[in-house]
Amino acid sequence: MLILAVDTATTVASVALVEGERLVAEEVLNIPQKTHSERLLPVLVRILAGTGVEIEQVDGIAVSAGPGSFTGLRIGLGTGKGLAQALNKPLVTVPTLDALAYNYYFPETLVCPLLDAKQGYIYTALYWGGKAGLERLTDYLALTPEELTGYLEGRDEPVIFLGDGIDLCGAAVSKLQGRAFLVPEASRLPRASSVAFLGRQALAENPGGVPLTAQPLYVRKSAAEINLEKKRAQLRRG
Amino acid sequence: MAGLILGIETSCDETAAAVVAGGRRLLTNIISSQIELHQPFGGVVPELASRNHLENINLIIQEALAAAGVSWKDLDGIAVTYGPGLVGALLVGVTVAKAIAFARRLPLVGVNHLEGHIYANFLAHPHLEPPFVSLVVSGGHTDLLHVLGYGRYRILGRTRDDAAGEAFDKVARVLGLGYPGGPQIEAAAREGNPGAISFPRAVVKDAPFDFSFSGLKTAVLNYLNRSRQRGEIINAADVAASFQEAVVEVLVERTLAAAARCRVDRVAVCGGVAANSALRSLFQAQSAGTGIEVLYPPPVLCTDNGAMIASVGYYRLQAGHTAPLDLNAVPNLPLENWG
Ligand SMILES: [Zn+2]
Repeated sequence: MLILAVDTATTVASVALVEGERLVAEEVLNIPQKTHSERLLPVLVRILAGTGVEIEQVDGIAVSAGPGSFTGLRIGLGTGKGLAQALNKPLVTVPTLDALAYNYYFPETLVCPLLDAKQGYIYTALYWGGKAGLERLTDYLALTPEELTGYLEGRDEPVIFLGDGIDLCGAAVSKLQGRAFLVPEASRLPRASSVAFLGRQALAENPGGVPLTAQPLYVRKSAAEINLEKKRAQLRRG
Repeated sequence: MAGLILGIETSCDETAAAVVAGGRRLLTNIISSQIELHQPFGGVVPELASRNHLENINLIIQEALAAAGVSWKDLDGIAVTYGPGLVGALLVGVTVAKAIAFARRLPLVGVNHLEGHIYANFLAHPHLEPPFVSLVVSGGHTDLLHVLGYGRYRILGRTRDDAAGEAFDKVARVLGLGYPGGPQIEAAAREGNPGAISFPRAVVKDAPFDFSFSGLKTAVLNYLNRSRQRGEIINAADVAASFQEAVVEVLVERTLAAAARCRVDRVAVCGGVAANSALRSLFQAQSAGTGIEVLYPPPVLCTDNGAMIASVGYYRLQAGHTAPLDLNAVPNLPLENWG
């Protein structure tokens, strides 16, 4: 079974093709100069051309669904939806933090993917490397780096950190002293191969995939909605 | 060639898809409006618009194809609006259109939204051919153009500040009439006297076909403040009618003058404000006896829709203008000549 996966949740654009247990091809483009809109399909075309696979041969499409950059998520999911609709193939969405944690984990460790959510926030979730694979311990969260410290305190297992939010969380990470492990640069970035492998599992559980109305995992509301809620709360208080 | 084009439009607050044959014949025109979503905010919230477009776009496309009885293999191309508009909103349509075009190996055509509005008249009037003068008047545009041919335009004038539809929205807000302003003002004005208050008609120096509506908006605000200070009761219907009259008079007068200057006997009005009945009746009254025929699309083709995009797409494709797979949204896309 051939799975085509895309990840555009961060500034990285990645496309991968996975057949069964085998990673057939992957491209990770980490250049901020061009928008996802300009580079995603060309990357996808290169992957197909390089492997000699025709788009019609793909059995399912997996998309990194967030959290992440709102616009990036829409370009990834919009591309996935367009392909799935035009090819009449199932679409599955994979939480971006799940995929990132899948990049690099070991049994009996905590994994803490960190993504820059801008405006002083990070997106994160905490995972435990269990016997059957990764087990998510928290919700998908938008936190300040200070709040992250609270989530990591009171545990004594080693913590594996990865993602583009590491630099923002220096204080929280250094508090853990010898228990913090920073993943090497190459495995820190979101990779579509992880999205593809997790997407393959999701598709096995749900062969029809998600509906074409599927939304990204935004985690955060739009600024306008937050402001309106504040205004209404103020009115209620009088 | 039947020239079946799927047109996709997501530049603002309408998610739309349509199938058009030969650039002229409408097979389906599916429009999902986001008005209710934005109403609590008193205007379009770009992030919410983008989220809603992504949720609905594929079902709208599916519905357009199904209602037309058309499958992917019947199509000759996919046309999509790539500007001007809200960048995040445009990106949804552009992204989905590109993925479909690639997967179905169909030519992709990028379309200018403003040009789309003009072509709504080709759908409504099968025998309309250039040259003519077109007034594009909506929440985002007030442009007066000489349409010389397909893809050949000369811009005669445009607004220097607010678009006419934007002025309607702002005045509706200060009158407490709600969003969107155009239909609200039009309804309120029906009960009012257009001659009750004399609001200014702005002339732009050395640019006889340009428009300016910000002074008019300020005049309405000043009038309301003055009346409130004096403790006078404000007749919202009279204010709406007098304001609408001021906008409509300028639009009609300058458009007909432009038609005379360009020596054309047809004027094609389009865009959301083209559905305004006061505008239509004044055009009819003022053009009577001049030999100038004024054309409009039906209201459903005045609002943003995919059919007008498919129409442009057909003609652009005929002229060999396809877009690459790295096509991006261009929020300030200028009108270009390609014909
Ligand atoms: Zn428009």
